[in-house]
Amino acid sequence: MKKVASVIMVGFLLLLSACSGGASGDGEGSGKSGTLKVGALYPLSGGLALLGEESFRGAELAIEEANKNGGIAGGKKIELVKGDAVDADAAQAEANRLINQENIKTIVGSYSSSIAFAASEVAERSGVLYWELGAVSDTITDRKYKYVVRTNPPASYFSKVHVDFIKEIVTKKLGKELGDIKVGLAYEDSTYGTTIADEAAKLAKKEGINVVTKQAYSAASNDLSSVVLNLKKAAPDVLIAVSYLNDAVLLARQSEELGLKVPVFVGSGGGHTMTDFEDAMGEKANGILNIDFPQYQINREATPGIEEFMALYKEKYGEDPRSGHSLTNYMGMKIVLDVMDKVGEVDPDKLKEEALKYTADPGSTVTGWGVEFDQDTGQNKLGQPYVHQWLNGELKTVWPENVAVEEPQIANK
Amino acid sequence: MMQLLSKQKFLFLFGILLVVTPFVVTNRFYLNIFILILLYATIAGSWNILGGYGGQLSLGHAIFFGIGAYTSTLLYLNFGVSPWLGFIIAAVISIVVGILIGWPAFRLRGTYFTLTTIAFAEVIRHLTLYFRDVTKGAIGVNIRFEPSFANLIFREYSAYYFVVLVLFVISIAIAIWVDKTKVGYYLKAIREDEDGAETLGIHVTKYKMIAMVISAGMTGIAGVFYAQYMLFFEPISVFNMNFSIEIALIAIIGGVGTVFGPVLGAFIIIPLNELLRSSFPSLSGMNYLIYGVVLILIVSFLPNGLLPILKSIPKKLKGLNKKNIKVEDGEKVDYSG
Repeated sequence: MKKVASVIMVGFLLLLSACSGGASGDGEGSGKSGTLKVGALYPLSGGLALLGEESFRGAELAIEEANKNGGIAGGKKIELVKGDAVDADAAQAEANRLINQENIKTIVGSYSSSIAFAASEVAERSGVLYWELGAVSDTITDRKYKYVVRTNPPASYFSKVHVDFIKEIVTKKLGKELGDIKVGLAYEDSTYGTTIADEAAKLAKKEGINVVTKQAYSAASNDLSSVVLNLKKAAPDVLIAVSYLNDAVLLARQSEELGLKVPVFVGSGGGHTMTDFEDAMGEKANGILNIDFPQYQINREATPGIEEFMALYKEKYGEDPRSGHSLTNYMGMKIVLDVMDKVGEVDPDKLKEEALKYTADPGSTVTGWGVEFDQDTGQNKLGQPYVHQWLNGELKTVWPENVAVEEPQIANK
Repeated sequence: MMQLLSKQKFLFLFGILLVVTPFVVTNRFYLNIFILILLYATIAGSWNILGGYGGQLSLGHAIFFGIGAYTSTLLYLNFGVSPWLGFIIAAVISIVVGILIGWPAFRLRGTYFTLTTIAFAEVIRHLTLYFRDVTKGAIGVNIRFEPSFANLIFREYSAYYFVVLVLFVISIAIAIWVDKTKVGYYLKAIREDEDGAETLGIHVTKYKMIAMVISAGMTGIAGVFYAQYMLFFEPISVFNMNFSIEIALIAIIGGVGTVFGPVLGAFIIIPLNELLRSSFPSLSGMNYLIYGVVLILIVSFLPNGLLPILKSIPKKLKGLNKKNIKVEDGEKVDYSG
């Protein structure tokens, strides 16, 4: 036993000396030599990597574009330092690395809410400004943290659009009173599904809409027939679904098999947005509505700069954007850069102060959103998801009218 | 040649080094790694009582970790109970759950016991998702950052470091106690030959249960610390089977059934994991590849873990000197059976 001692001891000493060396090594990373450093935390490997990477590309493009155009704040270049935040634990460690190793004062992220929670905790503790550009959990900004700002709309805005769409469009198309409309909910039981569905049910009840059934299921499930049969029994006019890809396809297939017909089917982003869904369902996807962040079949006049973004994307990555995530993150990153441009440095307090003053009119950004931050929570109040519809293999924006390229097609059966 | 240290001197020096660490390592990135090392060493050490000494390979220890995190945090958020008190309550509840699981599971042996622990962990994760009025479900639990001693929330990482250091020392003390008393000997006997141990008059279920109580209680306490340190957790992060595997892996890599095996394992696995991730910022996923290869190599060539190998090095050196030969106090464990 005792001889192990010396070996462990030497190892420990080495580790200790290596670590203490790193602490003083880097010095001031930002402000020097005319570059401003921005940290980016996204899941770039693991289960969330596909859309995490897509989100990261948006932020990366905005920075490349700014650098190409001569930098910000009088010619300062922006350096993007990325961290691979696979899950909450990794996000915590990577946030610490960016802040302490890379000396970063502004972090953007993150695609996933659990990553956002873990990273923003570290940022708040360290007094570093954390910009959320894509994750939707309401709690991220509801905590009213001093150093958290979010540019994208949270989950509850999805629920609001669901209910508004029923109120404004579905009632007219179906020729029914609001009180006569029966709404069913089918949602996967993780954060994403439960947040949107619970909030939608609450809002619907407030508006006097009849919620006839709420069916939660696990996204990993292989059989949703019990969900489908319960829905069939409840016979809703509108079915609000919150699904990832596999379960979205399964739900649609089993509805077909078991003869569930719903006049208005509305997804909530996730699986219903993806072209893989359309590939799997073919013809059957036609007419399915979907509420999500802005996609690319959208009114160009309400979304200035979207063509340029798509061209830039194609040039850099050699393919078309795979989803709207990159667009949303691009829009958010541009706001971050605008604010940094005004402040001219990366001091978190000054940036936060300037961010809260920042405004943009709806229809002036690449997503069509406006910008106005809530002074307490740091949440952008002028962002909103849009209603899309699968029409002949394309996901077209159909509502609200200012961004729509097609009229929503709802058959009155 | 290097002067070899006696065990007491080693423990003393190791202790001093651990105490001065937060004063030398002021960089939070590295201090975070040290905190994680001590946390995982504590958990793997607790796992080792049941899995290493007792030979009951549990892959469901996330249960106790999660229960610890949820118990103290829900009490703190809903009733304002200080997490310091939460440590004790979480330990008690983890122990009760451990006994409830041990009751049926200890009737099973080997793989069947392992499968049962996995099943229990999955059931508890699903229950946490289902009762979301109480647990907040998949959304997870977020503790507001309100630093104070009573809240067990600190701005400085060094404070967390000392808290986890105390937990670590307690876990080592317990492990030494188990190692030196009849509890440890009985558990080893059960591990080597359960029927034989019973024939010799060892109350097998009683001693397995003692190991479970110690193991579950300490893991629950570690869960409380994790919650207060991270300030955010969700069912998928605390009731995760990967977590159960990782702590078993740390103990196995280091050397099961020894006091310092899990410590060695944590000092290797955790920095490996963390430093690899930050070493390849532009090559996403590279860290997993290297991590995987290293683990495969260790498990293939050193199935008894690293500690026995480290022990044999000075033995060989001594063999060359042909003097002062002593019998080593550690032992090898065969985990293949």
